[in-house]
Amino acid sequence: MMKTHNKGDAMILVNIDSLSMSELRNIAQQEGILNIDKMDREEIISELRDKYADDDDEQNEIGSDSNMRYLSGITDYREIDEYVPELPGVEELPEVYPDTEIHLMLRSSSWAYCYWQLSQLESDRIADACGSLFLAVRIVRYGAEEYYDIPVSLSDNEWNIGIPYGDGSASVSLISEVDGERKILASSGAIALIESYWLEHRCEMKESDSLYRLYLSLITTREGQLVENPVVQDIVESFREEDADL
Amino acid sequence: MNRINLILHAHLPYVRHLEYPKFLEENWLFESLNESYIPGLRMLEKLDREGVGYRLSICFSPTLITMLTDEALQQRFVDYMNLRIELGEKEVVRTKHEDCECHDMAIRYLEEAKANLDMFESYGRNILTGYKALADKDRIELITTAATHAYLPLYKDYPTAIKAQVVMGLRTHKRVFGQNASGFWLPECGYYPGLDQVLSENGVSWCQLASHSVITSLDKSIYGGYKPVRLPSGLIGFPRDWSVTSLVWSSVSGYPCDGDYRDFYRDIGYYMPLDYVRPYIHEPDVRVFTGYKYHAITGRTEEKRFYSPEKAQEKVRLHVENFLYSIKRKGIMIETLGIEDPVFNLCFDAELFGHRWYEGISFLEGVLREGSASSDFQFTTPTSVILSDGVCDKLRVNESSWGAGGYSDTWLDGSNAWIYRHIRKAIDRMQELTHRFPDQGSLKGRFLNQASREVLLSMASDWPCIMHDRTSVTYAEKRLRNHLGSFNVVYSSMCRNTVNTEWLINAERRNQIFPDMDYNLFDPDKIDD
Repeated sequence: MMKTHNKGDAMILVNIDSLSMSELRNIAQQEGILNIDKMDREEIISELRDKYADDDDEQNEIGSDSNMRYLSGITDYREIDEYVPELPGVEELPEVYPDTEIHLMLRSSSWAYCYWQLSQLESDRIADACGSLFLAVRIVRYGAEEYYDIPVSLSDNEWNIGIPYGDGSASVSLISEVDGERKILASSGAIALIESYWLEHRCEMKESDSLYRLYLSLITTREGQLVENPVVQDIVESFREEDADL
Repeated sequence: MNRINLILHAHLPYVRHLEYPKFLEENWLFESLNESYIPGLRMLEKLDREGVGYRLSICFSPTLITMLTDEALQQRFVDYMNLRIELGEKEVVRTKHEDCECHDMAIRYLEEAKANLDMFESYGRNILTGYKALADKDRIELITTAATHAYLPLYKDYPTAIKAQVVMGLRTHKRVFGQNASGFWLPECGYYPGLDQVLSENGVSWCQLASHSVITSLDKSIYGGYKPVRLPSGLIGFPRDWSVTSLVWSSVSGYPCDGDYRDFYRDIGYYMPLDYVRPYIHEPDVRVFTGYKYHAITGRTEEKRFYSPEKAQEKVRLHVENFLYSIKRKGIMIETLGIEDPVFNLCFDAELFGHRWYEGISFLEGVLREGSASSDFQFTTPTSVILSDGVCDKLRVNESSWGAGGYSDTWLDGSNAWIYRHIRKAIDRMQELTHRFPDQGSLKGRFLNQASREVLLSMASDWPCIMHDRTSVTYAEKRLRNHLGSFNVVYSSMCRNTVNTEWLINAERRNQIFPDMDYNLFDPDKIDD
């Protein structure tokens, strides 16, 4: 499959192998491919595939898609960053703050972001004793508790932590181990996990066909693309599986 | 009948650098004024005069409101427009003899610039009065958002900062428009359980929600997002219709991608000889947009054809038709599923229309005009929907946003995560200051209020978003360091129980925002007041 333009230049997908030689030449010309006259069909197709692969790569780089201007709020002045003048009042931010603490923030349905800092005193104590540091992750899900450790170094100060869906919460503690003795240095607050009615009530899906159509109507483009969200994708997948079982 | 809630969100980060004769990022405001806010007002006034029965909601963010009512920035906009007009006059002469295909567009741009400047002056340089007049006629519902457009889910551990963002947003709206806002635009559609409670406590009736919040909610939705959602606090949520908005919004197949529409990037600022454009670009010889653009998008090629307004207008007509037809067809399908009078919540950034999509204002005009003339549609506002019928889904909604992936990844990833340890520490310390120095008057009070402003300005969602998009990253980082550094000046001075008066006067001059700031909002003990 490749992308090409209809009369309105909206991007559509066509099967590249189904195009005639003249259509291929015409598209290749539009795409700025040189020496088309000397190429056979396979060579043109190969050039076009390379071209669109390059374009897709570019498009995947955030901000490089020219149409992204419709999505990003303000004019992009990135190419002249070096000319941004100094602003008054700017001071260097401290690299570390004096307190020992740890924080956990929800990034998405599957990831949490954790950052922490150690007081100089604490850091020196662990380093002097050749101790170690780790994160103790606690997941509470449907009333059951699960723990696991993530070893970190004294120079680390952030970590992404995988989390499940479900009725429950996640929290993390910063732990030191010196001479076999563990000590909780700081604990984060708990963050709620993402849970959803439909992931908990899959058995109802078979009787909810019209609701399913209604839901899809809000979150699907005219090209059939679903809104980008892992929980939505799981729910839709489950609906489809239930539908197939009927 | 298909009820359409068109909700436009006008927002720009607070940018004001009077310490420089010209400052490039101030152009964000000037471009949006000239290409979106003024032409948009003109179009809405025209429809009103013609008796077109349209209604819509517009959110003007507190930072934008502050800049639009700032006399110094108003004067700088006039200077910007005068330069644009001067360039237009040169362009009209030049295109008589060369690039003659561009001549008509040069005349058009010049006329547009003159008309926009005239209109700006006719409103005493404050176009918000024009929007307010339309609100008084019940054509539009004006709403507000968080004080500096902070992405609120990432601050939910700091109720004082959330409250300060909500209260200062509402306060700024009331100060400028003279009325309380019933609606509150959640920045980036960012919701977390409990935010509805804060909004309700502060008198807000409704907010918009991300489209996927319905299917992923903790309760079973009956109406699938085509009726309002009653959140646990009683606040009403209006889920965004991603399906319909993507007809416009999609970066792949949205209407603005059409090859007949005007290309945004091919601007004479980038290709005319430097000597010619030098007075209209950035010093020292940094090429930037001038607004004079003569080519159509054409396609994914460097060879752009000249723009034809006639062809573009025909495309606008077709796209208006297609847009309304798509809603009507969806409405029929939804009614067959047993839902009468579905509500379509169509949320867009206001700057899309006119600035980023040159023909966007004409598109909006067409949609409002044609839609109002048809018995298939009723343009409405969320407040009207709430008042007209009480039919709601009662849902507990998960944390969500309209960012990529539907959560917080855009504002919290490898490019920008470092900022939160500093911003959140500043909030902690601001709370500490309110405890140590409660209810201060005079100089110390001003000092602490300035610290609160700096904290709020550092929380703007624009900075992490720019870092994530890798656009004006240097500027965003400098701004963030500026606000946090300024906060640290206050914190360290107050720890010594002193006030740096000279610094304070300069800082107050620099960031003239939130004159009614009260640092006690950051007092955790007053959070339930």
